[in-house]
Amino acid sequence: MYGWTGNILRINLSSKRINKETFDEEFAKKWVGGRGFAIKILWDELKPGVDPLGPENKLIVAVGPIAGIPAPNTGKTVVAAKSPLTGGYGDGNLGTRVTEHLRKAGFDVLIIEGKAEKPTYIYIEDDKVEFLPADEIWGKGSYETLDWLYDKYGRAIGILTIGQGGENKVLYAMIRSMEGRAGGRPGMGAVMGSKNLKAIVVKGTGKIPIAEPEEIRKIGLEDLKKVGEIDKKTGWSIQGTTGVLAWCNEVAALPVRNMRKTHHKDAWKIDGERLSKARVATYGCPNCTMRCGITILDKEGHKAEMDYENIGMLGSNLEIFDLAQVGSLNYMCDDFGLDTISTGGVLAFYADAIDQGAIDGDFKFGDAEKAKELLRKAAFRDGIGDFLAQGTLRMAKKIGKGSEAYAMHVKGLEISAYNCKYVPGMALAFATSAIGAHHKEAWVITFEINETERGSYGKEKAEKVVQLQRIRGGLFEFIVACRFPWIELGWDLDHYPVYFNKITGLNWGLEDFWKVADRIYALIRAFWVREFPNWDRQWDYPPKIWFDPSNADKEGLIAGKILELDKYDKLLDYYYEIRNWDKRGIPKKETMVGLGLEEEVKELEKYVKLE
Amino acid sequence: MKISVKVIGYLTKDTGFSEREIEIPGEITADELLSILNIKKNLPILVVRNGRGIKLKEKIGDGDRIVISPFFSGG
Repeated sequence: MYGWTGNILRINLSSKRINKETFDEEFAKKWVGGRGFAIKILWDELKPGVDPLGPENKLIVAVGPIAGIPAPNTGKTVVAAKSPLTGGYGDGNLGTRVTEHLRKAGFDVLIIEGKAEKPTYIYIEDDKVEFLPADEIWGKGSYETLDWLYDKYGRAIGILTIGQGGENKVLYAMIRSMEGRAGGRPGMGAVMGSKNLKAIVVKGTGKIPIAEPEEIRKIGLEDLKKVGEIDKKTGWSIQGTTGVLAWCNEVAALPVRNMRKTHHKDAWKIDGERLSKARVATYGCPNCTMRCGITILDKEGHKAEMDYENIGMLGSNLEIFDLAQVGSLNYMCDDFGLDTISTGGVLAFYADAIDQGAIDGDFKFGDAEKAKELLRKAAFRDGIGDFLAQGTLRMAKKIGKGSEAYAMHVKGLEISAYNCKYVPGMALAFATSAIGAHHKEAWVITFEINETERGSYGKEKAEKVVQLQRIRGGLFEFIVACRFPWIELGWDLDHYPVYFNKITGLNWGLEDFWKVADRIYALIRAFWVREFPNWDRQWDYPPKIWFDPSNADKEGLIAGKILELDKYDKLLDYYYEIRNWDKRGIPKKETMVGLGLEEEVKELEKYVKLE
Repeated sequence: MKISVKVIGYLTKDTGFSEREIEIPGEITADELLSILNIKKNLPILVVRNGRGIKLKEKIGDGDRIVISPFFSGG
């Protein structure tokens, strides 16, 4: 078998037992890698109802056949577990040297189970595994932890780590790598922390099994260079992802004031142009020639690596329009290992609830210093921070008084930086994302605003969401690679089957990938349904306030406009029809069987009646 | 005729400015505006007129607010 090592390394932190296991070609072709491996393993091995922060939960680290190969933007690894934030399937990907090292160590997947007795880090060198005391780094931020590990092992090593947020099991703590890299929004860092696991260090010295090594090396390196040339020619990385802030402001889709507003006169102060001018460095992932990590000095003089989501959620959504202060919040999230999107959502919800009189407190929108104080408290679960560490869903349940309507999340995961009070297709994309409201899987907003009637609910919007989910939430999450060359520089999707086939020796076309993507989406949905057997379509609704006429903009481009529930329901029906799921949003039996999920049907039928 | 133009992201490399009012001789298409501004169409471009996305063949006239950006596909 080429393209896969065929090996899984299972590490039990409770027993310190190591198992080297294998998978066959059928498994490889069915699930391919990354997110595909993660959902299949979690489905098979986790009993429904396990405590996500208990030793029974498992942390999956998975790469794919393209990962780590010198070709455009292949430095990514997927981290996954049952999410402590949502209670459903959770994952994320991040740029890390673990990608290449894990494959060279001879593994495609790590399964971390159990719980270490004391703070521990794992050192993996090929098939040797050491459990080492993490006393000196436990309690430290992710930057200091990385430096400590670099001093010990050198900078070329692969490292995944957590900050204090993960140690303290903040429900939106992430996993960190290589300074500004982070992944696993739905609390993957908290899962690591719950296992007393501070870091995973990987060194691989072997070879990745490739069907046509010379050919892929030639094509891959040439294409990496070409992508870099396109970037230089266009200048995309001058502003990277942050260019979109000014656009969102112009089209009234910017998150402002807990998404109550859609634009702001001061948005220009934190836009891509200002950020680019303030740049002191640029960082990126391995195997990337279009680096997007624009770095500025924050208020305290730290290097803060910014992108659009961070600025949208920690800036405009909190009505903080001082770039250096937004940088400070960004840096603190990175150092503590907290998700910037959820942190921004949580703080905005807290300010909003105070503003609405639903809860007492002294935090106001625009107060950057207080936001920093609260963020620190959340990371350490100190005082009010213990409340903030739970995420908006749980906070709203505790506050009550109608606050659930403006708790801006779907399935418990805070909404990323697009205000969809009048963008129905993007609202559908958030609502049907596999992990809760995340933008990465179907970024349909520019298509919607430029190519369709913005306020319409036509089938073409649902079709576009599914198409993008197949590509972004499917292909790029299981082969595993960064989607940016395709989405930002127009790098043709047809390149990816070429890389895949030269690596694996198979002869796949894009259609083969879409079937894998649909299989993965069906099994992820089955995972959610098994956890919550009273599942119905309301799980796929965006927050109520987007349907509330009193929340419509009072002035500007979309004054008086909101989402309409009956029409949204029709759009959701289209989505289910395309996926051949039933009206509750559960894959039909025939759909699952058609995707080769016969065994999974038997398991799911123990919990819910399938159509 | 005067229009207000905002240019976003890497396209400012072509125009040399990010925001200004410009004079146009009469109604022109969005495509003609891109030519006037020296914007190279290496990659798909989004043009927003008064907050609504328009096609390149559509007209631009007096008092319009035009936002020109790369066709963002999302971070």
